[in-house]
Amino acid sequence: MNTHDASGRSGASAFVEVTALRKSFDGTMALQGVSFDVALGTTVSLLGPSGCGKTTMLRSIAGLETPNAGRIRIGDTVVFDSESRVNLSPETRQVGMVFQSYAVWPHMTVAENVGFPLKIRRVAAAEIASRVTDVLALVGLAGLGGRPATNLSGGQQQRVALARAIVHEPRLVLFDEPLSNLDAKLRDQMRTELKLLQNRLGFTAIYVTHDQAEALALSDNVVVMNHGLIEGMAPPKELFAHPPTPFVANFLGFDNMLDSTVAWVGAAGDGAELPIGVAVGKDITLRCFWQGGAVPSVGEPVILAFRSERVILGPAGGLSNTDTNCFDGSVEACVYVGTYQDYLIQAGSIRVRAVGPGDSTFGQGERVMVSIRPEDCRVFSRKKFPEWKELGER
Amino acid sequence: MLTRRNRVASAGRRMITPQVLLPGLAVLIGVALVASPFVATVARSVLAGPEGELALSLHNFVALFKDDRFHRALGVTAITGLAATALSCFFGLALAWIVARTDTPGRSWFDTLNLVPFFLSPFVGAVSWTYLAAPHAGLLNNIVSRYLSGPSDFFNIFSVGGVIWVLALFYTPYVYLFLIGPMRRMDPALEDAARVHGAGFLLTMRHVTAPLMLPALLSGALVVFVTSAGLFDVPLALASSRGIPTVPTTVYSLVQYPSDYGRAAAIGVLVMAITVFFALAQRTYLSRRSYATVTGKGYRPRTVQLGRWRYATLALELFYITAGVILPMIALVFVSLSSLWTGWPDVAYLTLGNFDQVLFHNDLTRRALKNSLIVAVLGATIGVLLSTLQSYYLQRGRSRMRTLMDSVLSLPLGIPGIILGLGFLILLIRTPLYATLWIILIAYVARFLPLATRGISAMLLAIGGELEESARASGASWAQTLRLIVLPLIKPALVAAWLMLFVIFIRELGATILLYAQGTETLSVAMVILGEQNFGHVAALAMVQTLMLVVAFMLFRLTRSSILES
Repeated sequence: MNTHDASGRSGASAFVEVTALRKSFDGTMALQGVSFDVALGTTVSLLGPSGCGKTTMLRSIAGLETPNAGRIRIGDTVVFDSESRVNLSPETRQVGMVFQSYAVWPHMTVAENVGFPLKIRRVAAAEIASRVTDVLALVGLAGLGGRPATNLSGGQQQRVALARAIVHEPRLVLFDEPLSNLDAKLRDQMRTELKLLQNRLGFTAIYVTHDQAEALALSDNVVVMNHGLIEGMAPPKELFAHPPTPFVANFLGFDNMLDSTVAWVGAAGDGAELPIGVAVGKDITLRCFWQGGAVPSVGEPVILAFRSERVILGPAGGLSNTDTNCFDGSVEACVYVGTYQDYLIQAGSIRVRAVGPGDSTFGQGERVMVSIRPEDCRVFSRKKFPEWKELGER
Repeated sequence: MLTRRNRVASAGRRMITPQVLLPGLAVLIGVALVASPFVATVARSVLAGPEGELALSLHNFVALFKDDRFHRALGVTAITGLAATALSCFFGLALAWIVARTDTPGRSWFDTLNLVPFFLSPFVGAVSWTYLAAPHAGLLNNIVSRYLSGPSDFFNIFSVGGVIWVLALFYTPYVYLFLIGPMRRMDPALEDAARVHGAGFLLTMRHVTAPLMLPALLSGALVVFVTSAGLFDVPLALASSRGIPTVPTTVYSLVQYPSDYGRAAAIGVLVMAITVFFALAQRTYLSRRSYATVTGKGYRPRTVQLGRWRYATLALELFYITAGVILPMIALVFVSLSSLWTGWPDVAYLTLGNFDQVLFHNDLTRRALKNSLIVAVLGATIGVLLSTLQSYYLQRGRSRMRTLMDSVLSLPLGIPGIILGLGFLILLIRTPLYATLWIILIAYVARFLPLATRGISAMLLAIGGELEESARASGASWAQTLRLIVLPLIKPALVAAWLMLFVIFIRELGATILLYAQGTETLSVAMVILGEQNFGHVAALAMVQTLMLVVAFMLFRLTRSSILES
């Protein structure tokens, strides 16, 4: 898996550099050697399910957790290095942080909360006042400085926490699942505002989340973590289209993950990807492209992955297009969700998840034709990921 | 069908269902228990003159204000109260922080051990400390003179300092209990946020941790000040014999022959006024600063890695447990097993005779044991019954008077036992209840009922009304709902409240000392009476009492109820 590490390295221009970080809690490894970089002025998301180590990673950068081994550099300062025994305390690392629970101090007013980083740095009172006013306007809380912090809604507290994290113009802003406590509508709104603020102020940020939409929307680079290891690291669009591992694929919405075998291997055209045939179930073979390096042999076990929203359903017996893979199946279940419908299709011995438009009319038990384009399929070698299995039955 | 509906409707209008009647009755009894000693004390305080020719006058108050000895008593009580409060706040804050927020070794053990003094008798604690630190005769003084070649009166427990010391040891758990909950519930991110945004450990403590703990600390301090200043047991054991006057012991001596009830009542009125003032101040303060740290979430409290400092915190913990539990217990065991106590354990004097005497031969101690058990078991049972009904009224009732009743019912919490005892003495001295166990039982229930009501109320509040409503909706009557739904759910709180009342009633002295008569002595009273005659018997009796308290304490920990944290 370490092969993916290199892809996220942005070389000498890296502003934050995390190298081979390890951390264990009471014998369980939370971080098993994590390395990544953040370029100046960009945002990197740490994305993964709960318990993957992403929050531990962030807290280690902030200095709130002490890793067992590794090295962290922020700008010119090495803030942690297990070899030279460097471990700067949190208050000397010059960062800002937004906490999941907001951590707005209930015994202070909004302005006192926001002005705290400046007060601690002994900035003159008049300057604190003007900077607090500016930053409150920036986050949309103009005029609320005198309010007790407890008199605010969740969304407003979130803004206070954000203002507090940027008021002292830190070199690096850390976000620990900042939107996860907000309700869905507010979350979308705050996500957009955060993006605008980021574009405007251009701060360097590390953003921890378990929500792929947040990670894709807000970052220049996404780091997907699992069990304390980095599974993949790439700009959002690339990661979304070409997940490097079955885990990343599954986590980013490849909801059809089928154990299958290589049926045939074609000849690579000039520069094109290698076409292969993948047999799923008894008598379905799909044309796909192989991107996994060493040419596979016929009969080799693989994992076939594609998204349900890339599956096209049509009436059974319709014309099949030679460019796409088509096979027949019957509707096992359909769930109407308004703008679209979820389908579960039984095709021979396999089940395929598909999404149809909200006005599609296939009923339960109806015969349908399932189409999926070769370029929408991802194939992973079983040999490379022998351990992987889909988590939880949805 | 029609008649049934009519009946229900009219019953609803007249509100005489048991659901309303029984809790209402319990509240009325509670109000009577609060009001009657208050009224009796106030009435008696404005009556002066020779017995039989009492006339309305303010003479008692005038005499009191002119009395230099009372001024001194007031001064001593204020100083001991304030100093004991300060010291127990220091200990309580430090111990709560150590247990909740640090990696000090053995902190889960200390969580239990820190509470042990809460259950022990302060009177026994004071007596044990005389075995340890009486000038020339105390064990610690003997150690100082033998091994450190210091003076044999290095410690003098019979002093204002001695009173402060023992009070602080026994009231530290109160502060600890007030703080341990907020410390555990505090979102660690509040401190993390301060660290990340530039504040070091000490600045974070000053700007975030301390202000957040302040409401709980002040509440605890107020409770400790009011209760420790009003405590009779410790000054009786440590100050009276050296002629140091305090307010509670002054009340006691005023009631002894030649008695001056008027002046005692005047003191009672003053103390009650001060207590009510503090109770109101606390209520106003708490309602103004309501943020606390409770956000309804369970946080994993983050522990501070103390490194080498954790041996310092461990030392502080050990110091407190040693002074508050281990040393007094060792002294008590030594004295109770010695036929003669010379301030040094001596195998030659080893005997079980003291226990034999107090358990099987001495009429006074045998009677006291029986009386204490009767009063404690009966009182705790009546108390839990009444407080359950009161809690039901306070949490589920529809009456508009609920908030007022809540305040009225919790008034006795701060009133010193001896002042409430005085009120009942004045009220009932001419009734057949006087010189029976009943008068003691009534005073106990009146004084400590609010404690039980608070715990049970908190539990009722926690389980919410919907569980009952769904039982009623399923067709259960009120009585069935109570029996099948409510009581099983609040059982832990009931058991805890019972054990708590039992513990308090077994050891209570202040409320008893004015109300007992020949034949109705309790354990603590018997110790006072024997105190002047036989060290060994007192110690043996104290051991028996302590054993009962320890068993109750262990059962209490088993219930794991929230009554203490409420």
